Amino acid sequence: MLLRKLPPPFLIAILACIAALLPKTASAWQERTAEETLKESERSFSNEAGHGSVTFGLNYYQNDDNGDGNPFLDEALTDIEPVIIFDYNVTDRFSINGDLSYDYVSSASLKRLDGLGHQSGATGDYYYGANLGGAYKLNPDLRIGGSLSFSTEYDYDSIGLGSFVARDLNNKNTTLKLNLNAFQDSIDVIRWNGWQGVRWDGLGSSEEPETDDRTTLSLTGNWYQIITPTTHSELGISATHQSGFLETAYNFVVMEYDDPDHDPPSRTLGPDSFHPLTRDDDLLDLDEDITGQIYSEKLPDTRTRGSIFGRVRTSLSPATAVELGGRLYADSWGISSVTIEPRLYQWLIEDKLSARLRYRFYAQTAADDYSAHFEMEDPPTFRTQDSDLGDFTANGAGIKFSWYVSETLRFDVSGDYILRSDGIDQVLGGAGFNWAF
Amino acid sequence: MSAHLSPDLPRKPCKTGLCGLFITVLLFFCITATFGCRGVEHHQKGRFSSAIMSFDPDGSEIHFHQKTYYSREGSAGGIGAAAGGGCGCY
Repeated sequence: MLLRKLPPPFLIAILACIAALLPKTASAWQERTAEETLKESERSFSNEAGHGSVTFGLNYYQNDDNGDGNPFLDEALTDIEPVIIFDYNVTDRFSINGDLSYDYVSSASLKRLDGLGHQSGATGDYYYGANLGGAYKLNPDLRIGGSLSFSTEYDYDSIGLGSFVARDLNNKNTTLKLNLNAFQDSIDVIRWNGWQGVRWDGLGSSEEPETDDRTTLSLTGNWYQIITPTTHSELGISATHQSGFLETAYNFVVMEYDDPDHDPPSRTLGPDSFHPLTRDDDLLDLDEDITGQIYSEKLPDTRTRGSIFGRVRTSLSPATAVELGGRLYADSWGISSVTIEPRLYQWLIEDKLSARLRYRFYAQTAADDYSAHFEMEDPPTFRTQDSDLGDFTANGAGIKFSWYVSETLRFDVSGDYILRSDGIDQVLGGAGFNWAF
Repeated sequence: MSAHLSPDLPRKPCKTGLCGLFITVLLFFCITATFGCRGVEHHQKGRFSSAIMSFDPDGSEIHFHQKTYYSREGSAGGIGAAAGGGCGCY
């Protein structure tokens, strides 16, 4: 269990957070006059029944590959995603929310493998996701909620359950929120060569489709705080434990021979099956003159992640606000990362047109089992050449404009460009609207 | 040049510095939350009603950025999203 693996101070801190969420004392509630309680109640329940909002967005992602990431894989990729998000107040106390999304993914690695048996599961061409949640106000200061999510793609199905409890404190200057999410994924293990069918039973191989699963449990605590009449902040901590099949099924690793004239043996079946890589092999589009053997990626079947994140936003004037956000992250695979994100918000036309400028710095260390090159003479048990698990830094900048057509209708358009030290530069764009009713 | 990995390298369960920082910040967070400020009255909160002071005005952007970061970076979880389910592989 996750809690057993946490260090004692970590556990104590989480328990302290839970304690802070519980109702303080009856006297704190009774200290208010009836008039104050009424005003508080009116403010809290101002979201009247029958009202809600709908958000639509069309998002775009694209990255090139200049060869500096995984040397054996063209990682260029494009993703187009329409998404609809809604929320609706069923009663003054009960609201529902949800989202529907679809991703169309086109990647070079996927096209390259078209001719090999099954098409590779390389993100699968499509992704459908849906989420439905509800929230209930137990009293003006206490809310609970839950959610159910489902997503499916070529080789993955995922079901998620979520719950939260949020408590306002200190005349609503403070909000504490605790989220618990769980996901159960089932995976068709389609390997890099489109092969899904060899399960080693100790005596030989069978042609049963290989499947596996993955379980994710995530606990997140958030603390929102109004600090001054012009400054507010958010601080959070998240702990996640994952177990099961954690590799990317279609990822492969090239084990290289020192001698490029070495003639690799024929391919094998079984738990450590491999494919020979010869000098004239046209599978990998190699620039380098190497020979070796191609194995599937292999990674540990558990992963524990932890992160601390926060941001502070202050209003410099009625037309200008600035924010500084950041995150520290570490996990049991050896990856640690830091994110720093300053933002500037500016009304260009008061209450009509706003602009947001942001810069994002991200740096991560490599996973313990990552290497750009592996030697056939010294094969590790766990191995990955996934550049997203390698060490890199990323510098991103973006701009966004929001046009407030009326009090109930807003249009957004945004664009970001990210420069990554391993050459996986990225472009993100989006356009959409929000309609409140 | 090739950087070869030894299979026998000991696995680091946690970066000590980061673990210490995690715990320190968390304890500070919990203590401060317990004795939190009461200073700002309701009538002083007008500035927060401005759209440029809202933390989460665009759910679509948050949804997509979290998905791409989750897919393209080795870390996940944080503001707006938990480390979630699904492949998340690009």
